[in-house]
Amino acid sequence: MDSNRWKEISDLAAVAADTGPEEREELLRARPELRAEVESLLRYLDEDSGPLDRPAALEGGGGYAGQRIGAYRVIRELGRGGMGVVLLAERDDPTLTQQVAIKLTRVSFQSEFYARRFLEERQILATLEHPNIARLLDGGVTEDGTPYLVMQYVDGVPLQQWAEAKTASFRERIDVMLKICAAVAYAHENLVVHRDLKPGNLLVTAAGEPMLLDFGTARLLEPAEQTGTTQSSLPMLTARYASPEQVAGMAGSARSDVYSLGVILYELLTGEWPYETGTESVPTLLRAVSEREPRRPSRVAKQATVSRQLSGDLDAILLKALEKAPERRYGAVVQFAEDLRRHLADEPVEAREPTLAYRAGRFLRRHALASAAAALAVLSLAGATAYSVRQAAIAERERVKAVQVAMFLEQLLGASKKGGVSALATGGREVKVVDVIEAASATVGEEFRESPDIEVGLRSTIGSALMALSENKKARPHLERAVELSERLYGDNHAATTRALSARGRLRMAEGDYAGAQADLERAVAWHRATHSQEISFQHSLLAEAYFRQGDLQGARSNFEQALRAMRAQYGNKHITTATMISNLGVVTDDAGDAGAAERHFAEAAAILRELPGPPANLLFPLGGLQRAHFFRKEYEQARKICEEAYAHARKTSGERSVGMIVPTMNLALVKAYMGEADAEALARQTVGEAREAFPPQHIEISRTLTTYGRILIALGKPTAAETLLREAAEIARGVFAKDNWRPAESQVFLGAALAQQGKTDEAARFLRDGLREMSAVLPAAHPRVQEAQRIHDRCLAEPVVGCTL
Amino acid sequence: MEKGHVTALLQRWASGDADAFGRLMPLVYDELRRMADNFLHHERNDHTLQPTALVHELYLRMVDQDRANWQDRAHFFSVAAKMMRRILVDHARKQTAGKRGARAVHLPIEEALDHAERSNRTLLAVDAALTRFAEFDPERSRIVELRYFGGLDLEEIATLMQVSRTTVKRHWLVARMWLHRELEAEFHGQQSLEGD
Repeated sequence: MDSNRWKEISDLAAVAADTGPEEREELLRARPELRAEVESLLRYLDEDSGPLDRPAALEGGGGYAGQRIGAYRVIRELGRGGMGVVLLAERDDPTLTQQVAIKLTRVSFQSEFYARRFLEERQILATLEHPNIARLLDGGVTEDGTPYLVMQYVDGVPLQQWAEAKTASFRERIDVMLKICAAVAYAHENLVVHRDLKPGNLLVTAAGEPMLLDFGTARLLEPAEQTGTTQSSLPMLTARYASPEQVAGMAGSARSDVYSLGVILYELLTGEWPYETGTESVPTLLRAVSEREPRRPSRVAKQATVSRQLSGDLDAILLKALEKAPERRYGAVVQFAEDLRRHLADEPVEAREPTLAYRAGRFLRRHALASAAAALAVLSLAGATAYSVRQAAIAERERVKAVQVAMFLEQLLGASKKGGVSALATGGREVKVVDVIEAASATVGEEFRESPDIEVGLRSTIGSALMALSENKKARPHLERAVELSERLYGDNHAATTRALSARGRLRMAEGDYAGAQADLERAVAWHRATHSQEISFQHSLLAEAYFRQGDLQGARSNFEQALRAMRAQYGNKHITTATMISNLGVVTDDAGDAGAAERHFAEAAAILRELPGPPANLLFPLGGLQRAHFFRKEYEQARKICEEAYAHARKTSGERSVGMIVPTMNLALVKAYMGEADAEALARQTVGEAREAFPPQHIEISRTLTTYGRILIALGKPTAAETLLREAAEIARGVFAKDNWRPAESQVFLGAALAQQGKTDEAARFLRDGLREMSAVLPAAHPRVQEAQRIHDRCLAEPVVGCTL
Repeated sequence: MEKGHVTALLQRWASGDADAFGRLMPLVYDELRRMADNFLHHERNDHTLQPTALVHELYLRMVDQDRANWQDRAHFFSVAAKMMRRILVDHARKQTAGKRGARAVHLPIEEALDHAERSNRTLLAVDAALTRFAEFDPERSRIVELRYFGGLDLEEIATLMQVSRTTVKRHWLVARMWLHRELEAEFHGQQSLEGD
């Protein structure tokens, strides 16, 4: 339409619309060239209600009743929640009358978090077949691309309601609980932790059979991975039944399920929640879970007869299940159930034997060891700085996510019909996952040519998944494409662009392009800040790492500080994430030579982590910082106390003679040597032996351990033996550390000291000078290590004393 | 959501800072989107949500009433209407996708279609027609956007565009005639007489 002509037509139509028939006729007759068009418009003038007369509205999506989903016809809706709707349906076949429950996501594929959760639930349910667990019957994708699960329909009432309606006896209640325990224990045997056990997920049928529903959050990792979609850090868990460790933001374990079952049984028997609270607000409930001691069940019961039945065994059993520290609870659901059974049979219960120490199930221990080892491996690669602990935890989580992404892609693109998801679950996991992602992602560009918005999201996800599998080269093209496409589609200020940038930033960081990473992450941070996103804390901590790696301590510090501020607001002070960030800040301020601030940070982080249930393994890092602070100040008494705490903690969290013990043991040996204790040498020798067994000869850990051993020998007056070890340490260090790492320089300084003490003055001077120069090149002058090196350099060149503590 | 922040962005935009507009858009979009999703996930099936309710609630939530003047208000609503349009269209598109083929709007509206389906199809047809209309009449199309997608009434639009109510009404009537004629052609599969 020509604008000028339209202006004439529309002006005339506007005037004509406002006139009576005669005047209108006159107006139109005066402009014959416009008449036909104006008249065709005026025909729509009086139409009393056209589509435009009712403003557009958001329709709550059509009803499902009568719709066909796969082989089923929907009867009615049973309920709905954040992630989907549950429908009652029956087979669309008059000869079969089986009723089923269909769980349908109400979110599109773009919401990958939910889609993945959904697929994961399907995967989990498929492995579980138990009379007291609602069975998965079928599943698929509707014509419009919505995934659904078909489950056994359970016609029952919630647990508490069943007990009240039936006025069930104590024995009946415990019997039902035993069946629930059997179902949960069965799931645990299949490596599935439910993590959201609550009465709402437990229905009892008319026949009195309890049924366990909803594995929606089972085995899912930390809630933090839902990017910005929820405010609370516990969005999926019900506060009343979540364990203290889950409330503190840690992943739930089988012992968390023990705790939840304890609360459920407590309520079932007493009618009350274990903790006394004034109000029902969520913050109050959460505080009660982490701080209050449960009330003794027999004291809570209102009737004297009930109180009598509870006192003794049941008090002990319930309080044991409700212990704050997971390791003090029953080690497994079967043990909890066994105690309940013994109580019913009048046998002595374990809960009342005070000396009995429970050991963790084999799987869980192995699992904990594996993650500790993984964390340590990442750490030593990064040059042993505390902040990488958090990144190691993320890497772990990302690896699991990668499996989910593979399943998701397979479902979406039908990558491989046979040997697909089911093969993923059995052995050869990682190799298979990469294959599936690669095969599926090859067609993404083509599949979504018409919907580039979906392509952007998928590319970001695929890239992140490949990165989690250490396939950085394969991840690169996906992330580059995601950024480019998203910038073109949405511009800079958009969630999708931000997500792609953040992923590419992490990739660049992994590839050592820290300046590039910084550029991407700055943009991501800007968007998260502008949108007040909850994810800002995580983005700041990534950006801080980019600065840190470039040696920009100021930038790193400022970003860690901002991350910390956000985390304090988000998680509160008593949270593992907050504590880790404080510890990271300690590392950065320590490196910058601000020893006072560093020590305050380490002390705060350690104080928080000590109080958390567990306490978590990464308490070791702030302890390491604190110990160093005392050590550099020559406060060996205090340093030793902390070394001993760290040593005991490492033994508990990673196990005796594990690689996690090496650093804490060497630290302890060093401080003992400086205090003149002769057994330091034997302790160090044994640990070096263990390190040599655990690591290949040319490894960072070997170099570090040998350097410390050399230092110990110098302190004990054995410079000749020290020289040999320090030569080896320096040799390895040159090969394995990055150019800008201070460790090779440190080995040289100590080697210089050992030589000086033997009177080999010329060679000593060379090593001392070179070492000091190299160290000053990579660390600020105020750094305690530089100061120490300077001191050793000055002293050894002036008058070398054999057996000095340097 | 920090109200002062949004208000400050509005004021910077009013004083000619184009960057402020770019920062405002995602804020408004995400908040609206969140509210819309919330509605879709928690309300019963048969409910419909009028944009006017959403947009006005959004204004109360995001803008500091004490500091904002009428211009800020006007600017805010014009962004909100645009974002609302995008959300409504996305939603309708998703709802109708795959049901009757991609070019569903060309089908006659059948009685068999339920209310939600009909209204989704209408919405998509209005969106498409309005996009064509904007090519040669941007001013009137803006009025339609504010009224149909943003749920504003003529009075509010007049204040926003700084013209008299009579002018807005006259513009609206012309736009309405053109669009209704266009939509009828669409639904009955006829070619528009005025089409180029």
